[in-house]
Amino acid sequence: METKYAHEMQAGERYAPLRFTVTADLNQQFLFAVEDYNAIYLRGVDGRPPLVHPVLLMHMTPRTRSPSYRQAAGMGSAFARDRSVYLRPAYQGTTFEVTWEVSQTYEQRDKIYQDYVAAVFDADGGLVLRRELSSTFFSLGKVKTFPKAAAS
Amino acid sequence: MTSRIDGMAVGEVAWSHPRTLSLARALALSGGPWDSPSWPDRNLHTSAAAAEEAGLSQIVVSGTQWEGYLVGLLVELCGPGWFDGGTVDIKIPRSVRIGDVIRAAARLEGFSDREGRTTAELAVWCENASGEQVMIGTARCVVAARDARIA
Repeated sequence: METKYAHEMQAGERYAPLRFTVTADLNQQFLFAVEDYNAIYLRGVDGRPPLVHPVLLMHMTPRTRSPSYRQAAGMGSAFARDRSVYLRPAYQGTTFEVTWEVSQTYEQRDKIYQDYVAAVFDADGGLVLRRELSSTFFSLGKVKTFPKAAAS
Repeated sequence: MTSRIDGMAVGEVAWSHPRTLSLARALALSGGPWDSPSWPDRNLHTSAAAAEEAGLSQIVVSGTQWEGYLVGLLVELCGPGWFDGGTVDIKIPRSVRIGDVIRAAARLEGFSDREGRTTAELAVWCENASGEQVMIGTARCVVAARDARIA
């Protein structure tokens, strides 16, 4: 059975989880992306491995990263707001798992809004990052000028 | 252990250094792993053609990129305590173009007691070179040595 399109997902439904491993190369790619060379991300602290930069974890949490994410032809999505809670350090070399659950959907001004919770767990099953994200779906081609919100 | 935030006065603003959001930096964030055979991924954040197909006049930089600037600043301010419940709540009032210069800011608003822990409350934002806010919100983190300063 084919999975639903993203905009058809309803509260309580989940996207398929994603696993990814943060290598030194990947972590340092994201340090370059945000020009942040704090030693905690390069050498670590107190003999522990370097920390994973939060931007890398954030990057892995939009639902578009899920293997089951399907976007209908002619539709796009834009990120509206988020609330993120960082609950424990994430270390380079770790394999993480991301889960997604839709928390609310509604329509407003001809747009579909979808709120969901993304959670990043480390190899011990510890919750590292919890994000509540709000997003909209829109029809591609309708936006002709530079948009106010950044597409996700 | 003290953190930079322990030396801040209420009302004081801490700034990140300004960063030019170049195409190279956007590709590093949104193009997929550099060692991927298909790098860079083609999407609204990396390809002018993909953006045009979506009805956009140019590449839209991912909001994650400058939220990364902001959270990086919060880690600098809060130290290890950031990874013990550090919270940021933001929205994006306007987009960022390739070439824009962005800096993040955090203003210490005060302290509160949350579940028995002293917590710094901050107003946070990112702005472009024209002083327009491209991200706005609040943040908080646990601090070590502020118990006496809770109002």
